[in-house]
Amino acid sequence: MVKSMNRPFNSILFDSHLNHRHPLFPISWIHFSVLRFVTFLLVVYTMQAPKGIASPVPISWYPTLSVLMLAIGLVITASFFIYEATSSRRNRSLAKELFTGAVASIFLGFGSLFLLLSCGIYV
Amino acid sequence: MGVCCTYTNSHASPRDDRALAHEDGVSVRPAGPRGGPALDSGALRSGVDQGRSALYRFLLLEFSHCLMKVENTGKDSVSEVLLVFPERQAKNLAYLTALSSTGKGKAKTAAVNLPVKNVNSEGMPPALVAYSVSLPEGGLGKGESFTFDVSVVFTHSLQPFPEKITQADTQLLVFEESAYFLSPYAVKVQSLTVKLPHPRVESYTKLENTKIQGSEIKYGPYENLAPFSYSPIVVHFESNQPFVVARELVREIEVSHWGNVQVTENYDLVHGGSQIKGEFSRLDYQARPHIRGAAAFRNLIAKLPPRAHSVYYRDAIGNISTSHLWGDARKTELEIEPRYPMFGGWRTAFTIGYGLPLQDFLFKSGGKRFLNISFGSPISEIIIDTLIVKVVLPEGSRDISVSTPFPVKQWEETKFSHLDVVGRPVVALEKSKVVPEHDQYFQVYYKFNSISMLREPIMLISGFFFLFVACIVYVHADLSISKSSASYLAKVQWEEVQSVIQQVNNLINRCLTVHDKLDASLRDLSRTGDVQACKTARKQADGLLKELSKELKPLLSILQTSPQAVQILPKVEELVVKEKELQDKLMVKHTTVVECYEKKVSGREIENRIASQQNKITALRQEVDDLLDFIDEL
Repeated sequence: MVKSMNRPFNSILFDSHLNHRHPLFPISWIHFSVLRFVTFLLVVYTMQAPKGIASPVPISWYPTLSVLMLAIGLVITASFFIYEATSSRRNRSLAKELFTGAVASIFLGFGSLFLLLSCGIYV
Repeated sequence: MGVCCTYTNSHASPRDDRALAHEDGVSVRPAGPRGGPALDSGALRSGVDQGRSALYRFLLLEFSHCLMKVENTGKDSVSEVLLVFPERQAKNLAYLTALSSTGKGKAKTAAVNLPVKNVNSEGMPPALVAYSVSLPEGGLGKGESFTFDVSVVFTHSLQPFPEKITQADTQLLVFEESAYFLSPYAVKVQSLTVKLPHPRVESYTKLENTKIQGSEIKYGPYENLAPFSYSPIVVHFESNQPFVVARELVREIEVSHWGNVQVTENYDLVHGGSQIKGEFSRLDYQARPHIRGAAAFRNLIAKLPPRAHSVYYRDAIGNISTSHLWGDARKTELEIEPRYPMFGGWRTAFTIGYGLPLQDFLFKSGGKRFLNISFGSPISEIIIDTLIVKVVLPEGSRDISVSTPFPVKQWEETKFSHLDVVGRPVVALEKSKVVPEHDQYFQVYYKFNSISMLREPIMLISGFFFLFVACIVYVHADLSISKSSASYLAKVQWEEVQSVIQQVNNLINRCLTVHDKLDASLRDLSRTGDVQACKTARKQADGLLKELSKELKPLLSILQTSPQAVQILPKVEELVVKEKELQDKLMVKHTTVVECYEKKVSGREIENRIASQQNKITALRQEVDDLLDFIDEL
């Protein structure tokens, strides 16, 4: 165990020879796997084994998220332009326009980001 | 010097097996008197005069491997051992490591890398370059011995001869080496084996104790050699192995924290073997590629990491369709064929690219993130004259440091890519003479705040937001040039009228909702019989309607004074009148119903009384709605 501690972390995880039962040590497979697990835990807690970093959102969600957020964003954009076209210049509220525009751009921004990511353009 | 050397070799290393299994190569391996893989712990114990050294070569490379056993015969302890190479070889030296394997036989532990450094030792002949290997644990005492492996790789040291061949010729190479191991120490026993890819040997230097056995030429064993013994040998042999040389390879590794590591590799390849002379016949090549084009190579195999995706292979004019990709859980293999078979001296340039999953290569450790990825090219059997690895980190990375297993030239750049503001930090690593042995993992450490990931979406969001702001500004802006022209004034007045009419509409609509509320209160009355609640509802409605009619008055007066409203005014006035009428009728109906309820008149009777009123109300309501629609359409 001590020896394996000195090795790089991934050799412990992937060492296939640990699967074979040693002829001189008649310990069961379960014991062996428990030992392996304990070793793994020890390594994790003592050496602060590096952890793989994944994307914050699972990659498989990108297309769905993109379609959803773009749809919401486009609906809000449509309502923005309808408001612009129908209300007369005097009784238009700037705050309402800005708010609708901001919400629409948040949805369109994230929607297009996920669209780029799902197309393979990793920004 | 007081140190005596014995060179021994070992078959045990898996690396040797790989090199041997590869029939591509020319291998040179000094053989011991016992021959075969005789070397084990027993042999080591049996004495210092037992030994061999090994040299393997393949492609333009020379891969030399020897197990050395050194014994200190002097009085003082020694801390380092010198390895010397002639200058001619040293300038092609690409890779040199010394590994000590302690323990015996099967109990051998993992090899320890001994530090090797270039030294300029005094008393050394000027045409020699020396490297010193530091011995572990305080060096070597008197009479002690130590065993270690030395692996050396040389590039461009096999010379094609003749230098130019026709399409039909086979390629011949010349290999030069010393039959004696060049060493500043006295050598007790040594031998050398040259392993060739084919048994066909044009010529070789014959010394004493020279044997040829199939594709192996054995020199030695030679005993008790003086320091710096040198006996040149030349082997001229056939090899049709591809001489793939990348004159320059630029690998760009772009990290995206959104889940991808994108690798792009730009190759500038040349066939470094005998140059082709005369003309090239595609017909001959297609018909009998192994005879008419034996020295050419047709394809290359790149071993990409597992789960590689979005693989492409293209050059300046577009996609190259002659590629194949297959993979399993352990690797992804990409077979690429250049646009034409590569003959000696021919060049080609192309780009391959692939994406890799982020979690396989990017790790977090102690507050820092690090990228752990291989340095060399995924194409096996390739020599790279200049390799530039550029690691493009996400925008916002800082405190960047690189850890490589061998020295490289390093500098920093900035790259502008998708949605960047200040540019991405790039770490560029350059190394010349890169051989497959350099395909080791290196690490790029950096600090990164996860908030910085939001930079790209914020760029997009602000882009869209500016679009909306531009629309708002355009709609609000008054772009007319002449502010005093008749048409402009008319337009302004018309807009005023429009806004007033809109307000009138709103007011009327509010009145109609009040009407609806009154109706609802009547329905509640018929259900619950609560007269008091109905009366309060009536009171509220009266108040509201009064306020609304007050608000309506100034609007109407504006319309009456405005010349632009002449056409619309009758309709608006009609609307107001009708609404008033509707209001009155509704009030009458309401009063009637409430009174009836107070007098406890039966439901049927009430219905009869208000039936005529109800009809009028419905008709009026219809008219009001029609008028509203008409005005709205303006």
